[in-house]
Amino acid sequence: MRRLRLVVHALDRTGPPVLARTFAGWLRSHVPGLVVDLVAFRGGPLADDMAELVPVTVLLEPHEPWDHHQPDPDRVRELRNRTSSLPAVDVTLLVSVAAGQALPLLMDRGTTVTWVVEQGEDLHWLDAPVGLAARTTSWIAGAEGARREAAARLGGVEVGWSPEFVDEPQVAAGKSAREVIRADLGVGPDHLLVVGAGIATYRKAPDLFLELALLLARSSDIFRFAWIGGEHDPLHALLEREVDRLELSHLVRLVPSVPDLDRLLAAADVFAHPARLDAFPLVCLHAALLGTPVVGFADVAALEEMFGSTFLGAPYPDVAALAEVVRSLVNADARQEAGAAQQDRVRSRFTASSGAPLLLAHLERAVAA
Amino acid sequence: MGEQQGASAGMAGRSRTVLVVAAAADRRASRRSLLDVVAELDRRAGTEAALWYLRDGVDPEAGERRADFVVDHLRGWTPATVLDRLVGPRMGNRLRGIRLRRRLTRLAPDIVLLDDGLGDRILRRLPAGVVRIVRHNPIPSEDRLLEAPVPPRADLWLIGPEAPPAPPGAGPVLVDRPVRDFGAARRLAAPDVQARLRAEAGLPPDALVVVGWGTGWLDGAELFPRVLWALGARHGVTAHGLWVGPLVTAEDEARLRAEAHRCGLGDRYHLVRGGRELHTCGDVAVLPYRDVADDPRQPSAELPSVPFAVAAGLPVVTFAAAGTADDPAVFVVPDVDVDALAAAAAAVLGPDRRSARAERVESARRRLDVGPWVDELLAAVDEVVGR
Repeated sequence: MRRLRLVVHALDRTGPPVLARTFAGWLRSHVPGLVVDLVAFRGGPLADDMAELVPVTVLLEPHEPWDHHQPDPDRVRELRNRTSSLPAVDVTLLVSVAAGQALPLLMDRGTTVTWVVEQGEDLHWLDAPVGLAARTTSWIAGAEGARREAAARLGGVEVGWSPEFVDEPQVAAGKSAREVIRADLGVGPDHLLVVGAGIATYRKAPDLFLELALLLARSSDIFRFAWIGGEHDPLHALLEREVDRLELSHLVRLVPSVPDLDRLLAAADVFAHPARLDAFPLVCLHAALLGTPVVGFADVAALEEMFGSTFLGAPYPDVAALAEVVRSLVNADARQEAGAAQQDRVRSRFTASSGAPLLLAHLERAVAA
Repeated sequence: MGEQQGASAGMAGRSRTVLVVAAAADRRASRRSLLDVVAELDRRAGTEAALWYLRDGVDPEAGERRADFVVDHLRGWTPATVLDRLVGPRMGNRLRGIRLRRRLTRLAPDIVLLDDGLGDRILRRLPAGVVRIVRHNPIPSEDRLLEAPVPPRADLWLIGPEAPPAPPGAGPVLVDRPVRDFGAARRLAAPDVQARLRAEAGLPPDALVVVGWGTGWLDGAELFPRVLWALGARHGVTAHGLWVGPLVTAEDEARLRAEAHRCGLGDRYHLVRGGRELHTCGDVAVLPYRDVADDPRQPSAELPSVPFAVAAGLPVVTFAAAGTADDPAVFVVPDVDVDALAAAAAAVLGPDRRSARAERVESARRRLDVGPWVDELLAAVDEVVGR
């Protein structure tokens, strides 16, 4: 395999584009002879970062309307002309099924491998008129839950497994930096800071994070909470209202998205991920690699797969039990021990050094086949 | 209604006329209660009720009783306006006054009830012996700034638990209650009606049913499945849940059903967009309200009020955010505490829940219904007259 094309749905700061960036960075360092480029269906804030690693082609502007059922034929022709000038590749890797939106516009794909990193309603792209099922040569999934669901949706087609992965964190979070971040959040040295992050949707469940905060706050005044992100999503305004209504504003901060989330994750004592549905939350990998213990629900967000015997959490929807798990981490030694165990687990399985070679091997097998 | 016997004959057995004066039609719960009181008085043998507003207000809702007279309409009464133009407003106003007094004379009220204590200005030269009642409401009328202050003299004061008190030394006080005509709710509690409603909602006839209702986030629609889960997981109570959501969108429905599935509820979660009757179709009402935009005692076209559910014999479990009045059938738990909701629901789902319903209906009638309260009112009036 000499030429690889990565395809993403957008260059926003969501899982798949970040995953693509991590893989591109690893390939550049470890497989310098492989020529890689990236096509993004839409642009976004990661464009510059990505362009430092690989040549990037953005098809649509971030807010350009597009009807997959009846696309503008002139625009289709124009975009196909653009992509036809891209070099031929041996394999095209769609990083997520959502990246399938770009398929009708890509003229030369070589072997097409789709890496399923979604679950639930996000798999609707399998049925969309973009030809994903027909044009994919080989399927892999980033987590076991996604793999099972995709296989079922594809009518028993074989779906392999290649785990998602992240870069090792670059945070040099010394004690003073951590204290500054905590102070900005109104958190003192004797407080226990519980952080959550994500877009403000029912799936990511910031409402359950708020319930968790309420239960913990009612039991002790040592807890402080911060939810990061989601400020442009419809649920956010409702959450703001709830924080006010429940008189939690001195304990709970709703923080806008930040480009460098790792600093906040490192400053946290616990990372809570109460998502109702999440295929394989990369943010949990980031938190664990920083030594911040992660808690969440079993069964619904791949955390048991991610953390194995180091999983900390409760069955969905037991928010009270989740609160008990957080309380069990009040003791600093308990936190340190739990965080270290999760860190080791993630480092050995879900960093680029372990995951990227597996993914590359899948791609090479797909080409060879 | 036929359920209330006439109150004490009072007034020496002759018929009596009650004039109720309110500032204007508005959206307060107290006015809706007042309309039901007026209707109940009108239904009583030997009693006739008239409703006057001082000025126009909001448009009446469908089926709502309109005022028999709006005092402010005298402003545009042609004979008076002609006099205004010809000789000036003083003569026109004298004519208006004469007209008003003639109306009062023809009506010949035995009892005058001034809602919010407003309207005393129209009662000049009322004959002696007319019983004056002043009612204080929890939320005062917005028109109070347009009217003379509350007159210090009344024969009887109606003061609700959250209303401003009567002046010191005011005289007899009757505790006002936010009563309504809950005949429709009581009819829904009948066993044959409940059986029909269960069948309509697809519920097993003998299953424990938890009912809730609402339109979305503020009503806690997504908390409801978790209450059902907690009932089972914490208390071993396997109940069906019926959520009545008249305005639920297809997207909301998919989300709620997915939540129910995640909670392992299987076929025990029922979501319907049905009519108001289905809200009474259960063994307990669980209302995980996050907030209430309006007075929770206000039934809307789509959603009933908590008192309506109580009047239908349902125990109600809800959050403190619902702001419900203190009632023995309403159990309030801390906000957004799903486990506490489930615990309260489990506590009221006893083995005798069905047989106890008739008892709860009658108990609620005594507390909440307009009939018993009007009995009290007329008895209080008779006592005033007899003094």
